[in-house]
Amino acid sequence: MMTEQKEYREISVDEIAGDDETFLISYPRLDEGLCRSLSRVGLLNPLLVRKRRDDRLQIISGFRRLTACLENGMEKVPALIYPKGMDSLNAFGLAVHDNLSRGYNLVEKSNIFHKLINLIHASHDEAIRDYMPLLGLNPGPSLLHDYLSLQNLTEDMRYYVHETDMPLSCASRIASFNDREQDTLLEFLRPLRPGLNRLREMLANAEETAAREGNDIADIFSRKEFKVISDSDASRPRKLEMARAALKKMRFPEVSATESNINELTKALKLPPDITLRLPPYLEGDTIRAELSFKSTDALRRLAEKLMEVSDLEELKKICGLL
Amino acid sequence: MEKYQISEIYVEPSAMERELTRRVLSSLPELPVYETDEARTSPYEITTEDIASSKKRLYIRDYKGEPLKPCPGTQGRLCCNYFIVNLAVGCPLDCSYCILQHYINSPYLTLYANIDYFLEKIDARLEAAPTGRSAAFRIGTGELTDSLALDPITGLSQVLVPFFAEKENATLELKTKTAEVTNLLGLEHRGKTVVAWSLNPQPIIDSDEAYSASLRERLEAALLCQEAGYRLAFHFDPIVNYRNWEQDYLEVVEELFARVKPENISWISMGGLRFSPDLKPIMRERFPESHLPLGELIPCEDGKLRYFKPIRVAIYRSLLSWIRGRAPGVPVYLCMESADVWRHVFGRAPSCDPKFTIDDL
Repeated sequence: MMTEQKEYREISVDEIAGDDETFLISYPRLDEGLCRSLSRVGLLNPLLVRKRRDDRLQIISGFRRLTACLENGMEKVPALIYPKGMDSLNAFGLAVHDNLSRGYNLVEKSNIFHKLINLIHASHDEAIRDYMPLLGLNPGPSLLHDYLSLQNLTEDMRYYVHETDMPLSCASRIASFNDREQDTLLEFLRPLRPGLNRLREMLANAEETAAREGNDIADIFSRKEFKVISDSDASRPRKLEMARAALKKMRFPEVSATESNINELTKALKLPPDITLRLPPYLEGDTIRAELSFKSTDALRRLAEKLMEVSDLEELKKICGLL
Repeated sequence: MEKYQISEIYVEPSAMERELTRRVLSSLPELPVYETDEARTSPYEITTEDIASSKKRLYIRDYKGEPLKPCPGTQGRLCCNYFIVNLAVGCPLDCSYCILQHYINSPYLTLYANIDYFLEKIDARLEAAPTGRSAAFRIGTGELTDSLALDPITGLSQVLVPFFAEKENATLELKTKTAEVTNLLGLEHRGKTVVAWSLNPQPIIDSDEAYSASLRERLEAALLCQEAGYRLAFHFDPIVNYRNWEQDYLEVVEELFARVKPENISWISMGGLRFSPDLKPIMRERFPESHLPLGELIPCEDGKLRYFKPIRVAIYRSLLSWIRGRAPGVPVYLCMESADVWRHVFGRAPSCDPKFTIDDL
């Protein structure tokens, strides 16, 4: 990597080609913590810049630092200036290494691969071999593909992915949706803020329902069931569970209908809270377990009598018949 | 039916002079051949592109492991006591639901050339086994490939069928979705080879069984084998639940028995669509138009996804009644199903032992 002839000095922010985002990786660009830190102790690490052919300075690394400096009204910033002759692949390597210790978020890793391949014209193999291990990733084409796909996120969705610390598997799935689908999904997700497992399940159910019906995701999330949930007075966790159940019902109508039938039949048994019937998950099995809670032999006797009573009920026979 | 996609052949040096290799190379003279110690492998994980490539690159090599293995079956499901011989790994057909897409770890369709080694080992195993009906081996070559898809270029059936014709305690099952039976027709089989077809309605074949033969072609091929005196078998597997399943599967049953005499059928199996959850994203990516991953598939005890039990039971019962109505004496069994599903469908499970034989049915 070329390191000779670099020069350290304070530069005026006017010398910087601020609109040149060739090497911009950082996301989001505004870092309020950095702004506060800078207002207290000043800029500790210089920007890395390279001279362009027009002698203006192109930022290699330090976009967030520059933004924070401008927010603090600074007109001069310390910088390491690399010569015009430094090639772009080396400059990009510097940009990546300069912030490696702070760690990159999902969007930034996506930016790295996107720029490396589309602006620096590195091959996919180079990205896999040289950059994936550097970023702590298992090298492989499908993981690279997933990271690159995040470039298809809308700006709003990209921010949601970042602020909710969404995992790559979900983010890349969302990136396969068109802009309208992402906008509708975002409107659905924002008030619910599902955790990872819920999000994964709801996305899969929505996507597969849409595919089966020949609709798109936006059609699914625009349905009146979700409007009703959204307008209800229920708490956020309750709304989330209602939305999840509605999606499951759309994706698995027969399973859902059977489950609600079982719930109705079980309710009709009028079992005390000390008796719980447990059916095998998805009815895969032929045994129902009855769980009893009691503190005395008298209590146990009462539960046993109740069990004897319900064993003759038609509803219980129907439940057994489902297995 | 479109023929193979094979466009390159790789041969391990030790396999170059084998009879099977010579036969394949002379059958596909227009294809480039690369002699290589170790066929190129993907430096990273196997991708969906590699799966597609595996249909195009034939890799001929020798096999060194144990040739005759019990079918792995699946946890908690009744097993039909079947043995498998994998003479090839990978398949020139391209079915959307094929487990090989998740199972294979090589971007090649691998064909083993040292057939004598296989036959010697199988011979020794059969010789060592006790004779008698209950000890009979049912051996299939269609677990990790289609038994007959490559037969026009390998001629393997011409080796295997006479080999098993001499065995008292074994039956060979050649399971296929093709109509490649020409090599079989003049062979001395002595009733020891069962030729079997996987059957599905034509709309499913069209949407999800690329490069396979049409239903009519399969049944015409079965007719040819029947006329040549072979025992036959049929596998309704994977059974797909879709809007017209009832009408379409009934038509398949009707077409089957319009051609094939029940007394020539050794067995019929039924197995609902099932696959590992890891296969689902591969199916969605490689076959985005397929509706198979979009059914009401739920996770079962063995980790596989299957249709919700009431759906499976309803389909199995219907299919069984249509089959029994036309062929009451033909053994019918379920593939990879639990004892309680057996009881719902047949009124009983075949045996307390999780392994049963066709004789138990």
